[in-house]
Amino acid sequence: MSARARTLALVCPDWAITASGGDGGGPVAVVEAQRIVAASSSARVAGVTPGQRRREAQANCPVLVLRPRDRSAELRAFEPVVAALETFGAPVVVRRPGWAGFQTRGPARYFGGEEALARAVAAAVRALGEFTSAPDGLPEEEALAGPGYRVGIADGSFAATMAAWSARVVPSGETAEFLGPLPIEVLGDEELAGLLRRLGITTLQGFGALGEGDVLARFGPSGAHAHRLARGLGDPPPALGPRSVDRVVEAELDPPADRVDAAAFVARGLAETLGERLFSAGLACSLLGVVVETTEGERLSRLWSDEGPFSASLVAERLRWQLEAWLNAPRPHGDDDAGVPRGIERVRLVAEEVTRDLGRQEQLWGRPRAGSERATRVLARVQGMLGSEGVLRASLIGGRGPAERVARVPFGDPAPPGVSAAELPWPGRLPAPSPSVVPNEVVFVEVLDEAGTAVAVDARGAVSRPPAVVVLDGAPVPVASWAGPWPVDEQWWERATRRRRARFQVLLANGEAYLIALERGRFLLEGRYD
Amino acid sequence: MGSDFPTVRPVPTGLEVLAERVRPRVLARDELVPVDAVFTGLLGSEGLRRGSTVIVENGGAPGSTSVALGLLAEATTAGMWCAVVGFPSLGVLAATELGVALDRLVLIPSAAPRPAAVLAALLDGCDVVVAALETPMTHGDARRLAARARERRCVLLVCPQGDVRFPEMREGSWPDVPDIAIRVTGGRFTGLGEGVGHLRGHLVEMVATRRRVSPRTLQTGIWLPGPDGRLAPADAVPLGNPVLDEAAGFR
Repeated sequence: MSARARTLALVCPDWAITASGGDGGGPVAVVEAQRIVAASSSARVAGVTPGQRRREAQANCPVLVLRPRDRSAELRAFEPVVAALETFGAPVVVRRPGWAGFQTRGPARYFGGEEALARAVAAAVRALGEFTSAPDGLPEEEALAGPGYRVGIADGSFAATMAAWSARVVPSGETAEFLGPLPIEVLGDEELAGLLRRLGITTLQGFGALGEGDVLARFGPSGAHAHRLARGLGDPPPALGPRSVDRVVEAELDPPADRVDAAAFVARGLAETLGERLFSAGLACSLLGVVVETTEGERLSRLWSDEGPFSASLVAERLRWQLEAWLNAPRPHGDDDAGVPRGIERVRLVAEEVTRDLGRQEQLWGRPRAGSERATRVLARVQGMLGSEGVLRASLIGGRGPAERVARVPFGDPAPPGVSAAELPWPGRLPAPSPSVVPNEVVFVEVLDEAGTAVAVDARGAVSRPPAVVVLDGAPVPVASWAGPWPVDEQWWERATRRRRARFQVLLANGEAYLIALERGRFLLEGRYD
Repeated sequence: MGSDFPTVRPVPTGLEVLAERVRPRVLARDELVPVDAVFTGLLGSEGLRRGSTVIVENGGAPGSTSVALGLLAEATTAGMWCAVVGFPSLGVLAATELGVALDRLVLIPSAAPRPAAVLAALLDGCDVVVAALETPMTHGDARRLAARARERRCVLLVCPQGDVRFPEMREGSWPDVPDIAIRVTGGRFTGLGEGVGHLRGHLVEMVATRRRVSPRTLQTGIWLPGPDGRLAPADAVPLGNPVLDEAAGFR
């Protein structure tokens, strides 16, 4: 892709809303990590903006409907749109769900001009009927934009994105004039924009007027990149690496993987190999091709571009969403074997476009220490021996019992949901110390009073008689001291998940201490203080 | 005749003298994995010596898991990587209460079917590897793992385990001679009464057998944790039972 390749961009604003089922005209917002990531037009009118905290948004708009973000659903919903673009015959690049584009050279000639091509793309997208959002002010008949989508053509993908926002085709060579009056914030680099504003530069034109060398000296490679964008020059021409660098990595899966995470795990290893190979040649990948072949002979491929170089975990995550989208999509031909899952036979990653690695890792202290890198590599190797579920890391989440307060996820995966709730007050939670051994399966015990009858707890939370003997694994042990019961009644509003437990701590005559709980008339072992 | 000439040695310049003086050496403290100060007496040093094998076992009283977790705590907060192998029922919450930083703790619930291979791989990259053995190691495997730990400057912490149903443990499940063997021989829990109070502290009494430190055996007690939630030496906390106040009711 040359520096000033004519590019068509399709931008779907608030794709997260559209993918989550549309807004139906009401105020809807999508939330991730307690922050608003997208808001429908009526929500924005009420003062809900992306980046806002959830509570602030709810305060601004009490009737706001909040939906959790589902990235794989976003990609799944975007897949038909990408398929529609693919019918235009050029390789489609997906930057993220909600942004797709291709180079217009061939298709524009076929359709007789860029205007006609853009109109045809808009018509094809409109025909999908994916967009159920209410029109946000634009008349339906306007050719290049409709409710929830915008199409534009300009030189390079950044300018094309800007053109799409204003729904127009910027003629070749006029990109700099088109970009000039736009505010500096459109570059998407908040830090840079803030700094330039304080320097009195508010438009791309003003930024572009600065000397290239001065910008590079003051703002580094990322600033120089933004400067190129501001002048309408697009990305620097791709620097092709030495021929010796093999830019393709491939893995054959035998037996074929029928689970998405198995294939994603393989892709992570491939991405690491490719990344290391490019890194040692001083290169970074800016356009990555992914090819997956299934047991049924289907061949699925997709190009991804990204602002920064790809990291291995990002590739694995993206591939996971992509595979989920593919595997859950309807089959292209025949439905006689609808129940049989498609297996993934081959995964191939191709660094389609490489640039010189200018060091986009801006963080001064962000590089992991050498020890961490070594440990991460070794743990990945052990994951290769035991499977990704065999190496876990734990984090504390919200909950009351010692087992509920811990979540384990495979090493390298993102933290589980609920981590933010760990520090919230959970009334009924036991104070420290917690049991250092928490059985991972249900172990029943018997608790008897002096007369040898089972101890019970009544509706008011009172114990029938003091526990005197605990029968552990068939062996009765006298109780030395005890405390409790501490009843908890969780999720009483939901019949299926309701749980009532009365917890006791018992110290036995043999010196061992246990946390036991009475649930549905039986005592079970919740932990041992060891 | 050339040998009659005196050999000329360059006179060290000030810079070379300085370079010699500041040349990095391996300092003794770099060879230690840090531990909480309460363990210094028990180990006979300010940390776990890199390359050593330490065994923590139940000698008839509960507390060995807390001892192992307490030994890990400082290392994880110092950014070192610790792996716990073969301990699916580890109480992670108790680990954090004893000071373990979870972002440096990796759990490998089961290393079956090749525990020795997994342990050997982990010794390559982690600073402390906790091997919770569910089956005894063979003599050869144990010796090879100890040698691997020595070579990789890593600490191998062996914690022989019962199964989840907690039967008593066999004696001597680690066939090699460890550098330090800690046996938990006694202890007491405080805070529980007759239906009142709640568990507050756990005093763990143990005997350490050290190979390179004098005296060879040492008996000591450590609160894991003490009634205030922190680790403390045995004599730092009075042994009175705080529960007695609560037993008196709300008078």
